[in-house]
Amino acid sequence: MDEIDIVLALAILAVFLLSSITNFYLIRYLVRRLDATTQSGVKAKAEDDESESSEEGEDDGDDGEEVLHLPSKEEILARRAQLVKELEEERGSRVLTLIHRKEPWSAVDDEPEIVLEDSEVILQQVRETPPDKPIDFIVHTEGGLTFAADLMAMALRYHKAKVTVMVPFYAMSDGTYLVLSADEIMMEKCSILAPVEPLIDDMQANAIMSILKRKPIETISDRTILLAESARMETENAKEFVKWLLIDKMSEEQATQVANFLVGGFMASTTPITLDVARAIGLNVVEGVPEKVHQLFETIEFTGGLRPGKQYQ
Amino acid sequence: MDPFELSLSLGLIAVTAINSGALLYAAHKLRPPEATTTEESHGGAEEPSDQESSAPETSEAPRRPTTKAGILAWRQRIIEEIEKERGTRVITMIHKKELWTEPGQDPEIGIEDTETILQKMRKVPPTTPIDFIIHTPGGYALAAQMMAMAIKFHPSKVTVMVPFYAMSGGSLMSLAAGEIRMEKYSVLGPVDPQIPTPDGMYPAGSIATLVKTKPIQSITDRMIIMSDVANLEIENAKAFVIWLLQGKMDKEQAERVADFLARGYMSHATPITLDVARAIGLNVVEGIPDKVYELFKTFAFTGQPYRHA
Repeated sequence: MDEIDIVLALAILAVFLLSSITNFYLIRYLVRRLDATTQSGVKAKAEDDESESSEEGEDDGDDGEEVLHLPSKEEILARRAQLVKELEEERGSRVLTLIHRKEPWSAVDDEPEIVLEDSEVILQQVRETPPDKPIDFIVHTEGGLTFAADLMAMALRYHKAKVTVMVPFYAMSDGTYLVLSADEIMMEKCSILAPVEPLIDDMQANAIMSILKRKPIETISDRTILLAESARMETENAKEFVKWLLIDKMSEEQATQVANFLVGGFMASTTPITLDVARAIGLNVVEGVPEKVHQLFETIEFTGGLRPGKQYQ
Repeated sequence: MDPFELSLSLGLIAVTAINSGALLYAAHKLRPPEATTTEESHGGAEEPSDQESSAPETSEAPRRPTTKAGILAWRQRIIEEIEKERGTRVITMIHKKELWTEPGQDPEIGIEDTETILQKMRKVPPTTPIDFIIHTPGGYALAAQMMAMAIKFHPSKVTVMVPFYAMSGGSLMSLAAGEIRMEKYSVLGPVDPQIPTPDGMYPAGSIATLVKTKPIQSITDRMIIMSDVANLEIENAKAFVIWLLQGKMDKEQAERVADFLARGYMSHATPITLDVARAIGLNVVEGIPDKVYELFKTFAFTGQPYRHA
């Protein structure tokens, strides 16, 4: 009988052991299963949060998510304001920007360019800057209304303290006036300026003028003759203006030559004036744009997400 | 009694053993569905994960993602694979219609490309070589020039890969590269400027010759003006090509190549094949890594939504 009792006890022990092991596995399995089903729902939300919080520090990689979870307009503007403020603190200057770029919220056919409203804003901002405070002017434009650009260039030239114009990518046609007004130009090795030859009716002024010498006058249409006349006046204007912008920074002779080079119609209006060329004609160019400026441009929607049909890596 | 009780207890043990065995078996059986559900929950973000589970590469691609996020993640993964394989940084400029392309939109080189790609190239460490995959019909010349400048200025080797075509501005960028990789059938194109006129785009070379072939009195004013512009544009393009080729061939040859490609001797759509590119002295290597083609599979070739295989 004693032996039997021992065996029975052992048997009961074994039963407990086995059942507890199986129960353990069963419970673990069930818990995992439950987790998986609840997580699949939660996961999507978690991803949203993750990409939103990583948006700011995001430098490279996972573009896929970035494209899909774009920050709101308010967030972008706040980030930009923050960066501008940081840049101001870093350089002890007032930072003004003239950045013409399609935004995620701009209309499809919206092509931003220099308009009178720009000059009003910039003039006001330059006026509000204390005379002894340097100005950092970030320019990114394809040009626009010459008159408006002239106004801004004048305001910058008249500013007492140092004016630095930064061109991280390009400042073309009328944007180049703004660059010429600066005491110092900061650009990258592949950012470009452009000639400032006036375009009359979308044609280069000097090309219009040359027709008078090439074609018998009676065969030229009245309109072309009138255009040629206004082209002559516009080029004169542009030359004098460039000269005036540069006269403090170089000799008069050199300023005249530079004006002639940029306005004289010796090159196509799309010819890139690179850093090397700008330096060669005697402008005060520094290579490299502060890192903060590039960060500022990252807030502008460069990814192809909103440009239909475009995808970049 | 003894043997009876012994057998009873043995039976008890056996029953529990069988029981627990069955339970374990059931638990084991129930496991696979759990595994698949977790995989699906991942699927939203990284769709083609089933390829990693050693699915042979020959089997027609992974399950195609249908969402934009899925497609982009798929693409990103392939790009990372190329980068790992070649030890380079991969930058792409692929102008193709996407699932999300609006009708009537034909992607081409624009100034937005320049900004994006310059930004990307800035972040590549100077010692890292770049593989630049180009697939474009061309577009805004100045934008292409800026990117070409960035390619030329990059301190380490830049390889341009042209799996299908890189016309016009795309060719300009290819000329900037240290090495061009293309297939026997992929093409570059001439880089002669196209001048916009009210009647449409005309090749600069043709406008420039117009004033020589027709009495000047009978040519319209605008065309005469445009001929001036055309000459300047050709000069600009030629000078730029010569500069791009500096250091890759001697000056005389560079001038000849520039003249050949930018003067407008041939139609703007003339294919400059691998053999021609090699004949004019460009550093061309035949063959594109397979992975690049895999990348192109992620683009909808017809502009139609994907169909599940």
